[in-house]
Amino acid sequence: MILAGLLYSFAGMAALCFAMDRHHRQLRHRAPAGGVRLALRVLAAVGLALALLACMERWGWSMGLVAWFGMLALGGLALVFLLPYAPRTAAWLAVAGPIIAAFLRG
Amino acid sequence: MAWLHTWGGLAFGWLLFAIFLTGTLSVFEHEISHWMRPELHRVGAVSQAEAIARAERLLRHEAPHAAHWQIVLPDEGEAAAELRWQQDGAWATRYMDAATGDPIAVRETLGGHFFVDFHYSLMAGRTGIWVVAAATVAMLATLLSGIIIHKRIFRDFFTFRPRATGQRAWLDAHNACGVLALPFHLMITYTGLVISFGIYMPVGLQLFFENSAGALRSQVVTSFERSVAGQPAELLPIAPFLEKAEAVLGQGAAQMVVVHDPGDASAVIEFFRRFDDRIAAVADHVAFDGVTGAWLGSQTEWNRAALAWRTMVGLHLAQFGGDAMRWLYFLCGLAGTAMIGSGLVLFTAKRRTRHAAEASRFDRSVARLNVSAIAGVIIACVAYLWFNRLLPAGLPGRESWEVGLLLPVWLVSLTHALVRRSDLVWPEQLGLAAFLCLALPVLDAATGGAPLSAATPGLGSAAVLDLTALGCGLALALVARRLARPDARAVRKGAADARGLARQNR
Repeated sequence: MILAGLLYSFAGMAALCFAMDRHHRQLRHRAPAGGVRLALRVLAAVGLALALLACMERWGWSMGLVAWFGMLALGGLALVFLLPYAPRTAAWLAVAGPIIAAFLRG
Repeated sequence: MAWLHTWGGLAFGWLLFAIFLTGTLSVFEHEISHWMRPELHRVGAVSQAEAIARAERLLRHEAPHAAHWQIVLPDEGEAAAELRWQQDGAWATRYMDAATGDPIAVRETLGGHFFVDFHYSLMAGRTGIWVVAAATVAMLATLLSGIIIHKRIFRDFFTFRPRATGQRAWLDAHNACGVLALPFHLMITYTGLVISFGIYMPVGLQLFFENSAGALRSQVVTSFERSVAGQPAELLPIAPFLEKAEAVLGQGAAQMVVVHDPGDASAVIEFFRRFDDRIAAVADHVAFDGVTGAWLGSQTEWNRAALAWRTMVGLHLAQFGGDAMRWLYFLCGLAGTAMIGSGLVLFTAKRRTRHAAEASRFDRSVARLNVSAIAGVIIACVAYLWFNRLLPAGLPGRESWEVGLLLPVWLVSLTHALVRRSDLVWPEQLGLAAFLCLALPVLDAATGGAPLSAATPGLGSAAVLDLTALGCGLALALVARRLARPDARAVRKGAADARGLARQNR
């Protein structure tokens, strides 16, 4: 649950990040189209919600909420410090992470 | 507002860096304490009932006339039981191998508790608590003003440009560490302030509890202790009560056994529950008559107001939710420490850019003091662990030596920062800090910590601490390299030019 939560939060943060012009350019050298941007934002919300669910499952709602904030911070920080060095790796990790997480939980 | 952030940050940043770093280390107080008592690393595991029986035998032998006994039961990670007793007003502590019942001679050390003590009182009692409280208020003000002056907080949410100019890269790192972990920073700062309210806002205590925190506590925590009868009476064996206590507290949930007035007719045996599965730091407890064995009562329901207050405390102490939760606290704490450190570096980097080459005397002093306030404090924290292993185990007053030597270490760092060539100060001090961290596992293995002896399956907490130190060492080495690069090159170039000029002039 813990690793799954971290992977979801990283993926959610990454989707949120790549929905922004500046960071989308780091990946594809152009700004995202409107539809892509919207899709990424929806995915971001789903990822962060799944992270919250993973925390709830592991800790219950009161402790889970505390853990969720911590995971959002760590997911975001990991992304921010990876992004300038390896944007593609970050993107792949954001795709592979939730798949691994789903297996971990299944 | 920017003015407040810049100057408030500088004025309190030096102190806050030390507070945040030691506070972050406090999250692993017990693991650090365990690491610092290598004598305990090789004890076998045993059931709680056996541990209680052996502890009782030892206590009956060592302290039959004590006013209180406390037995901190071993858990899976730690197979040594900690025994404490109070006699003639003073507390004594002894460790026992729960598997054999033998006492273990353990070096005198404050262990991880030093970091706890330092981060809330600077080892200076009430005065220290006041100073830390002032710094905490400044931290809140700096956090809030930081949010206000950060004009592009959402647009720059994920922005980090390490290859940009020095100032830009530091600003990005400062913002990222601050913004992404902002909920944590606000929570930990606010709860830190609230915990000690009785000291700086005592009016409620004064009005309703005769200014006694103990009186407040006694209204919240039911006491089953009885006044001393003065009649000798045989204490019943403690271990058989464990099962009855577990019926109320839960299987395997007992964490501490307390015996009041052993050997007296008023003896009480009390079991306290662990509280790592809830945020609120309150321990359910059950009590039995120590002579007749009668059930005296239990407390598993808590006053709502008290629970709300203890939730604030628990949120700060981070003793709930297991290892994973404490890692989250630790890493977020490191982000906060990095935010303060990068903020301090940013102060000088910004002014250097603004005032071009001619930095004022003030700027140069700040830059040098920054080094000892950041690198010097990191060195002192790691040095504490080094002293723990290098000072002879039987040294009298060892505890005070371990802590007392840290001030000279820091003063050496300060002197070095003030007199050494300016471009070498950062890389040398951070390099030393990195070396001390990287070599810590070697020290541990060489001085009897036995990190790989696998008394418990998987990695023991001492081995994890070694690995964490290794990781911190690598990170410090990277930062040291980064700080050595741009400025050092410019200065070296400047020095080479000057030498070239001098040669030409000759």
